[in-house]
Amino acid sequence: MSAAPHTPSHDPHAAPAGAHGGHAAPHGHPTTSTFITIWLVLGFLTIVELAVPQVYDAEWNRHTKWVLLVILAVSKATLVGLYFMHLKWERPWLKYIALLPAYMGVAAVLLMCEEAWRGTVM
Amino acid sequence: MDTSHAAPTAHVSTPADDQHFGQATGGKVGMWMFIAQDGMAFGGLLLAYGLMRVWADHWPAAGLKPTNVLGIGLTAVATFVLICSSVSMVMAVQAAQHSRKSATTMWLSLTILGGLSFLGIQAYEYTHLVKEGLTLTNGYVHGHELHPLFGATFFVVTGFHGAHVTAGVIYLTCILFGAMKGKYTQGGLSYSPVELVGLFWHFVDLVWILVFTFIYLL
Repeated sequence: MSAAPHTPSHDPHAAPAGAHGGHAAPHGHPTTSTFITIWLVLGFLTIVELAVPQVYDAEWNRHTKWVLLVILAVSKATLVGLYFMHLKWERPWLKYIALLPAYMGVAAVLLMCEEAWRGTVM
Repeated sequence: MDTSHAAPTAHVSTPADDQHFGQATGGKVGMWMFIAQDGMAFGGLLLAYGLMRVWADHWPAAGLKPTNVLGIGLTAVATFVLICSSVSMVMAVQAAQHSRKSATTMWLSLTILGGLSFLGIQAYEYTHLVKEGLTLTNGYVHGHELHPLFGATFFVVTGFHGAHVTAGVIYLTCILFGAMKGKYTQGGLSYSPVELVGLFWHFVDLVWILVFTFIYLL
């Protein structure tokens, strides 16, 4: 991390795309190697996803399983959105439109917490 | 009358002039708005499912998890097929952007093949589950009486997604015919329709990632 020359360079795979289009080009398209890398990462995360229910199989650790699976699914969906759907290279307003359905996730968490709480008092 | 300021009116506006959306064409902004509302339709279904899970004492039955009833291995293959078809889709868009007609046609065909494979696996899965006794209104599988809404939830959510894959395959086929005529490989923004079908296809893939986790694995 100490060798990182630019602050937004948290993703090493973005480097070839940036070099291709230059920093000033927001529409600089990613290269084939970017897509192949994302494909491999998605495949790997799918394997991890399949292993999680096997490892956290018991009743007592089911919450760990839920949290891990949700994190994995959201990570995969984010990768598809950012790289395959080019959101990483779009202007903010298009990103805001794309973020609209994420509101459902917030609603889901709120409603489920409320229901779970109601279950404990009724 | 100050005519010196009238000059910009003669300028034809292009997508690149848009301060808010940059290079995004009207079609792209429209497709994203459609995807956002379609995403909320899926969100509504998944939200209802989530609440049902919270209400249910056991899902789908005491001592049974969804992973025991549904075929995870086969569905994992279907998931990977869909991810691969997303990769072939980005390759098709890239080929169209570089005006490579035969490459565009080949990658679009592979994407359609991926979609059809996914639908084939889903048809096989549905047939298998119905034969085992899981239907929209009834679920008596492996000697267990399942939660009455397990079948309904499963078939409605995966069926709604399957309908999207079917629509995507039809949409992709229409674009493939255009690509074979070279309509999208003439340079400039002519590749745009390939990019739009790509956005829809990746959205279908993205939703499946969530459906696979929430319906099958959780």
